[in-house]
Amino acid sequence: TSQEPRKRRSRWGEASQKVELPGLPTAISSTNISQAQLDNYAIQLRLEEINRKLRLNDYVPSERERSPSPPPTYDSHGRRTNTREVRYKKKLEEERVRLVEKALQIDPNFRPPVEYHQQKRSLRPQD
Amino acid sequence: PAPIVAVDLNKERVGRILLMLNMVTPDDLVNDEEYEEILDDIRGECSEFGEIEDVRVPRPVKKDKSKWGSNDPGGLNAADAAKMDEAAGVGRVYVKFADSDAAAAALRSLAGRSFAGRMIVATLIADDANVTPPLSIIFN
Repeated sequence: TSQEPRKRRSRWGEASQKVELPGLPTAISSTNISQAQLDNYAIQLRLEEINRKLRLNDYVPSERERSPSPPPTYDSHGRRTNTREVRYKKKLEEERVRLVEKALQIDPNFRPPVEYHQQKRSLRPQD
Repeated sequence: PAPIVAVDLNKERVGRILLMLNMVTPDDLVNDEEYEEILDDIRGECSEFGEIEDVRVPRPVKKDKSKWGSNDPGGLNAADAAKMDEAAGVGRVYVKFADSDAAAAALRSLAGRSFAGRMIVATLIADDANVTPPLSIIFN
């Protein structure tokens, strides 16, 4: 018997679930806009998007979009340290750090979101 | 520099090339299978709006991750690789439609949609637009 290829889900979100970020249009004009400006804008919007997801605890993808979970890990008190929530949250926080660093390279006057500073401290390796 | 503003499709002369940002990251484009899936997803959704002439999703240069940060002359260092990727437009998605009406319809519908959990920023460019990276490099 031939094996059916696994039906995979498209990466597209539902059209009905479009979200708007205040002051950050997504259908934009590119007239007289440089590549650096466009890229910078995309970073800004992604940062806002990440902040929003973290604020609303909206960062675990729906069941069908999830990647396989890694084996569980535990801390010294036997608490699980890599739950789905922890992993996806950490991923977004790390992306935020990379984006802020990139934005600062492009524009030294860039002002990172307040959450960035708090989080940067907490990401430092701890004993 | 001019500020980023929402496009006014009624006023602006627009092109047939849809440029989408914040849709893919360089990491998503390394694996061949994943890359083909992404292309399929893009073609599938965009073909709803009209005939597609070309889809381009520039891929990152190959780099040996184990050599990142080292000065091994055999490996491409991270900074150089990032520069090459930027010049090639990695992270952007270009869809060339047969006409500008289809591109405008795609922009209206796809801007703000999410793709793998990322909100799409979209703009239209004309075939002869003077942009970086040059369209001649993207659609080579």
